[in-house]
Amino acid sequence: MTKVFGYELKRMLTSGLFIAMLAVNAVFAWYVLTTEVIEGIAYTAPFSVWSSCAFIGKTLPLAVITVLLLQAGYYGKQQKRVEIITSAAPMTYAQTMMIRTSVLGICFLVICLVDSLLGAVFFAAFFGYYGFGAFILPALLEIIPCFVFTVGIGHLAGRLHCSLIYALLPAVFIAGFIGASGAFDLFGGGFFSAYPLTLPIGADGEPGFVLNSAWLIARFIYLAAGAIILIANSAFHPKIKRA
Amino acid sequence: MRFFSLYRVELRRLLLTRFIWLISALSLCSPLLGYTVYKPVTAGAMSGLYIGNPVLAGTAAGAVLWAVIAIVEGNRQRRSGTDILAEAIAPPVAHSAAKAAALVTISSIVTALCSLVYLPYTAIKLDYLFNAGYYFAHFLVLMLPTWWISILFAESIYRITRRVELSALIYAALAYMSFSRFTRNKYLLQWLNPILGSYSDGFPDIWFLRMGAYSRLMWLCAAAGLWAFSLMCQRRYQKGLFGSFAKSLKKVYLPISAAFLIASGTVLWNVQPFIGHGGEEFILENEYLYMTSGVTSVNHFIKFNPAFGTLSGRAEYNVTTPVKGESVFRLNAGYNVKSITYDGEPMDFRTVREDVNGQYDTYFELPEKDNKKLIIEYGGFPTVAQCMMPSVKASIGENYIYLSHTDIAPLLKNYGLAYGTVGLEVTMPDDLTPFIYFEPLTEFDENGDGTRTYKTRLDIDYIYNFVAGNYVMDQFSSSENINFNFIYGDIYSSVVDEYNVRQSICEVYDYCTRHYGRSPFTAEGVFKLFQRSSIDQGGFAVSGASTWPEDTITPNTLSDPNRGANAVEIFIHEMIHQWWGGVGMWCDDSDGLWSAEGLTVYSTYRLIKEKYGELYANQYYVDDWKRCVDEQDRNFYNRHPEYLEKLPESYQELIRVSNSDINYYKRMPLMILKAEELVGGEEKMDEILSKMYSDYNNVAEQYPVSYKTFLDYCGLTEEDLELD
Repeated sequence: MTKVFGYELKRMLTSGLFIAMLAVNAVFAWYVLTTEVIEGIAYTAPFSVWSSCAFIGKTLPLAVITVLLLQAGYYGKQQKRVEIITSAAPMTYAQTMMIRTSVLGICFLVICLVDSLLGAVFFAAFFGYYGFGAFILPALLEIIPCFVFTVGIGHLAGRLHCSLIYALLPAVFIAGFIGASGAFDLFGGGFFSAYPLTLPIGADGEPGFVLNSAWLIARFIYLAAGAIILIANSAFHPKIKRA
Repeated sequence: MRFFSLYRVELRRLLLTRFIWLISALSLCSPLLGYTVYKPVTAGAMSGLYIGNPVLAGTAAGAVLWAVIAIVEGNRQRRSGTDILAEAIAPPVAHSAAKAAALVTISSIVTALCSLVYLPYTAIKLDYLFNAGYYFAHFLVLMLPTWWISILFAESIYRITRRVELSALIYAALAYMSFSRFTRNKYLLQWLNPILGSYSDGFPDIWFLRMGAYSRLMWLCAAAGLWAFSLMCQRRYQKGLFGSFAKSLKKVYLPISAAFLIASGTVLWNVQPFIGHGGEEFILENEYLYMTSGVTSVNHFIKFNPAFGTLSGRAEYNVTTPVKGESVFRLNAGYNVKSITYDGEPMDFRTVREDVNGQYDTYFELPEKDNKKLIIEYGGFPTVAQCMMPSVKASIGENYIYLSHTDIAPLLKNYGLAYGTVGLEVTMPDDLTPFIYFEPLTEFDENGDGTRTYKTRLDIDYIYNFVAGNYVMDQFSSSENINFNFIYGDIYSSVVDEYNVRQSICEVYDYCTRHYGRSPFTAEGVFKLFQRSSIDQGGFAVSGASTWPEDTITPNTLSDPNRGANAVEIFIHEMIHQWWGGVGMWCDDSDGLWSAEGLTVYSTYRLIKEKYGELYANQYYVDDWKRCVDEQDRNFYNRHPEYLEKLPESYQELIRVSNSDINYYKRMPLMILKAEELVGGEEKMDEILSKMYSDYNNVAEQYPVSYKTFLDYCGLTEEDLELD
């Protein structure tokens, strides 16, 4: 299983699509940093936790789109042709799903890491700011539920029909770039841009960083829903159609 | 025949590859960059923002994408090792031509699709300003040929180098050259990003499209020449570059066509008629003084040919006594002097082709015969001086003609009209209305061929300015007995009606006259308000007439929340500038806070308050000012200016611009409102502004009213007006 995981991971990380999309993600992240974050989100410092969370939230939709594109490969015609051979491997369907989800998770993390690295370079180079520790926990709270939920939905859609994954792309695009700013904002870009404006201003002229309980509950709901869909997907083995 | 069968095969093969679909899809998306990150046309005209920018972005980005596929496709057979086999089956020249033709065909289809995809959005955004012909011409003239040029260049480079990374590097260097400082003022060298300068919606001018078409033709010749040359470099018989080249020379048509095409491109570069070949700096020539003696009458006969953008003219002067020695006159550098006759006798002349501010001097000598007629015949395509670019100051088009000084008639150095009038006969399209100094030419003869010949005698010594366009002339009076002659582009007729612009003009003039005093320009007779094209930048006001910028009533301006709550109020704002700033009282805006905008916004608020009541005025003006000022105060960089200095200059500039907008449009009006409370109310403030206006409205631009002067008039200090 480890060998298969290693092979799958290598195959995915070295695929042209991933490398190209990683580059696109990096360019987009830099664009967000230099056009939006640089102004300071919700009148806070560009290197505040609010700005950092908004930055992650604004880059997440493209990262999710990348993962969905990679995921579509698992349900494409080519994959179905080789499925008869790969299914002969001594692995259960649940193990296969776990490997695929883990590989997608690592790809997603690599993208987020590259984006975050760019963010760190930006904060350090532009503002001489190095206190990145405070950014980690809120960022993980944004990233993990978002990944689990969208990959779960992606697996479900792909299992029903391959093209349904592609149908998810515009939905992600709309939700990510034009979407709501409330607690149920899946990515967080809208929420972290709007919520600080409702908070009282502190002595330093900025609202202190606090996480809204409604937002935390929404993250838990996304995480739980995604996990349930993933488990349900892994539990029921689909029939292999011979080409 | 072989070519066509190969072409069909190549086209089909290309259409079956996923990469071509990806490139086509990305090319279709590339104009989106023009709405967001790449905006070379920055002027306010809507057609520039919604046609010029997207087409230019799509042109440049798409060209790079098509170059990528040209290089990849060029390398495909070599990579798969089938190139030797393919060469054995198909003649290399025909095969290469078929491959290029297939790519060119697909890129043409994508251009057509691109123009259709963005059509609805552009038509909706431009609304009543949308002109389908103008829109499609951008794609046809700029995008399509540039993509072809890029394909030909990329294919040629790959065929010569046979290395993908080297080809990409050379192409990138060429692309960089097109965007670099090196080509910034050499507009025809911008092969990837053709320049588009000033735009106008109401008076669409095709000067830049003409230049774009010309430069595309020039580069197409060069690219096709290089492509033909690269065919000679195609490796054959397992030989290297030079061996293959020597073998290919036997096909005589290849070097001949390559040389012909490259020579054509070079000739087109040398004879380009658009931009003068002079320096980039304007040369001030005090010694070239205009004489006002020696001529008893002047008559000009001018005929326009808008289809070609040319003019042919004849200037007749009754010379009393010829000057001894050489005489000289100056004309636009694009014109040729056809003949000079004196008393019916042809004169020798010489033109010195030294471009000074886009003009050439022509020298001639007259015989000693008194009271004879001097006739100068000239014509051509008016050149724009290099030092004036990218602002076009001489253009003859189907929809708009704008010429000045030596673009219209010769400027004689040694002769001038001491007294009397200048006769003018202009033959031009019958749908355009000609104006000389805001004065329409009204007497004309129909020629029956879609043209009219306007005849007039003008009480001026020289024709400094000629404008013709699709204008409407409206006459009306305000309750303060100010008579208006409102002249505007007929495309704006519906806006003028819809937003009741005439009433707004009357209200503004009446209000401002009552509160601040009579504008010197409305002192007597009819006051002319002349809408000038945004191509003709830098408007002006003279006694009895004032220009107002075209974009005052474009959808973009009428939706700018900085200027007012709605379109009518924005128009009111622009009209109030007749009192504050521009042609009214000049304000010293060097401190980044005090400016004519603050006074204008405040006056607009007062007028609106009088018109719609306090509740409305507070909601849409005072509350909005307070909100924006509060946001500005909360802004991180305003709280911590030390961080602003750490940002790159371009970002600092963005934040400064944002701050100055708030300062001018929101903070200053709020401060004037505070001053109004401190001085004792609205009436007292009106008295102060009225006095200030009467003291300063005739003062020259060099002595603008400063913030300190305003405070002195109010009897207040800077601290008094600080906002909490």
